[in-house]
Amino acid sequence: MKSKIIIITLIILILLVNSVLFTWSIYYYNPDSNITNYNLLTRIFNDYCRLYEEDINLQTFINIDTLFNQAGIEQPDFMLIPYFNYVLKKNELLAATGNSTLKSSNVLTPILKSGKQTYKKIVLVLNTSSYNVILDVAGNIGSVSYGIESQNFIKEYIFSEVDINFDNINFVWVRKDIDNLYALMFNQVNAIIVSDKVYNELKDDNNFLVQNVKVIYESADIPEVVVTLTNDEIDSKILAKTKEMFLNMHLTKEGQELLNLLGYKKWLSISL
Amino acid sequence: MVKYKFIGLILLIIFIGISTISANKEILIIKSNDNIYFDRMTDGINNSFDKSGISNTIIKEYNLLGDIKYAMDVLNDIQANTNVILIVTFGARASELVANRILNIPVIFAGVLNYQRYDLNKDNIYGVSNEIDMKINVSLLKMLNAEISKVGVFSRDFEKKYYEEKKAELKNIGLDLIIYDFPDRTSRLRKSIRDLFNSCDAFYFTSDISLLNEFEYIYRQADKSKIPVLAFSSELVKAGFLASVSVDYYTIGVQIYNIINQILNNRVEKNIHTPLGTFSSLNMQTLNNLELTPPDYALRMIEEIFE
Repeated sequence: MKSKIIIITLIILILLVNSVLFTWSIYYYNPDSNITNYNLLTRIFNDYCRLYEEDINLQTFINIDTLFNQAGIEQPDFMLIPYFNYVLKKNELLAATGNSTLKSSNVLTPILKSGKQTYKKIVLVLNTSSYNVILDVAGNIGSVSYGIESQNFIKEYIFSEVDINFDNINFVWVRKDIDNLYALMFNQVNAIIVSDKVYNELKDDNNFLVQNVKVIYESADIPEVVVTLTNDEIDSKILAKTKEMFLNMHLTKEGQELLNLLGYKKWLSISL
Repeated sequence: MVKYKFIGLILLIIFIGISTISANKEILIIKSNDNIYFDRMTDGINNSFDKSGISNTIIKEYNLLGDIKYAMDVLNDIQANTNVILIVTFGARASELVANRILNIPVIFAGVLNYQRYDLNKDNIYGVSNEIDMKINVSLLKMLNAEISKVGVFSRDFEKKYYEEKKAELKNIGLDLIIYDFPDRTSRLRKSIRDLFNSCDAFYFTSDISLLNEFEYIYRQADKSKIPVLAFSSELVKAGFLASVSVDYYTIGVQIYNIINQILNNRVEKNIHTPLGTFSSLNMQTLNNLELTPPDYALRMIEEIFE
């Protein structure tokens, strides 16, 4: 009887250890996405993971600073973050330690529904505004935040081709484009910088939020998000399984539902 | 001799160190008590604090814990501390106490329900109100059902002017705000509610105690009349109303950081700001009962869905 209890206890322990070993985590942050309902995202993601009989912890964040702070405490295995934040973090780690846990060879990026791997940021003002070109704009401009480096993102990726006087601009940071659109519609800001993915979706539906606005500037192409490995010591099977799950996402109904939610067609493996 | 020189050098380094530390400017965050929303606003400020933007400045936090004696001690310390350049207060208690005592330092308040009830109208007082602009709230209805054109609301006499302004602004998005007076007697409220439901496409449920007392009746009547009700809090959505838009406290923290920057750079445009961050909730069962079919993106953009 005693030996039976020991065997059962051992089996339970092995199962527990196994489940701990083979649960892995992905940190998610994307302020330019069309989705802010993270419960829905997590549910659809979990539905997809069930196909592979895997239990992956998708942890969503509403700001990148909290994500990186949290990543410093409990190292996630992967991150799904904007390309800009990936480049910054990688350079920061390289400068600090000469090494980066963000591996260039293990990066995935999506193809958007538009068929491109990039999107644009656009500047909107109300139709009644006297601003007609980006150089006119001054005062409060709304934008989603990319953390404490937000202004660098804006300078480098959005206004790299125009000589804007940033001294005349006061950025009003929000965490999603819908708040930006409300702020513009109800005169809280003079102009807003939004993702063309959000704008086009609302425009296609003739939504009231974009009926009385005009586009006065369009950025150059900005690379879409990346999924990157952050844990050097990850089991090679987990790495391979995660890659497989992302790269084959377009092949199943559940995967297509997840892709549709994210606004993507499929994932690609790239080297950065 | 060398030994004395060495000691002198050490003392000089310590002196310079202490001078440097004491020269640091201080921004104080004073919370009325423990509150998860105050913590979110603090996160918003701290995360936004650009190291290169504001140098030689440190942020210190105080929690008054609802203790008036401790609050007075803190205020005395602040008045004696010449390094304090700005104070942020969270909650009505801390905001009122600081606003009454501190007249020569900018004070930014937040987390104060109906801030107009307090004596916060002074030149050195700035703030972010706690109420989402009603226009944003009502806009969510339009997002869920583009056909909605008449939204009813009950108004007290002192709210009339506010709702008249909103009525004019909502016209821009094709919404007609129908303003009903609260009846003289509470016993007549149910009839007024039925009248409103007969003449409007939707109802905006405000934080009025008379309406809260009639929650059950309004819920049943709205269900029967197929009237979407937009509430001011997600708890009411969980209880059965269609949807709500409430404040995102993290974004208020980011707004406070912006105001701090504006004050320190002498670029302040206005004293009181409205919250820019929203958090929306939806009751899926009520949506189905109402037979509403919002576009996919609307459901993707709502943060909290009660199934």
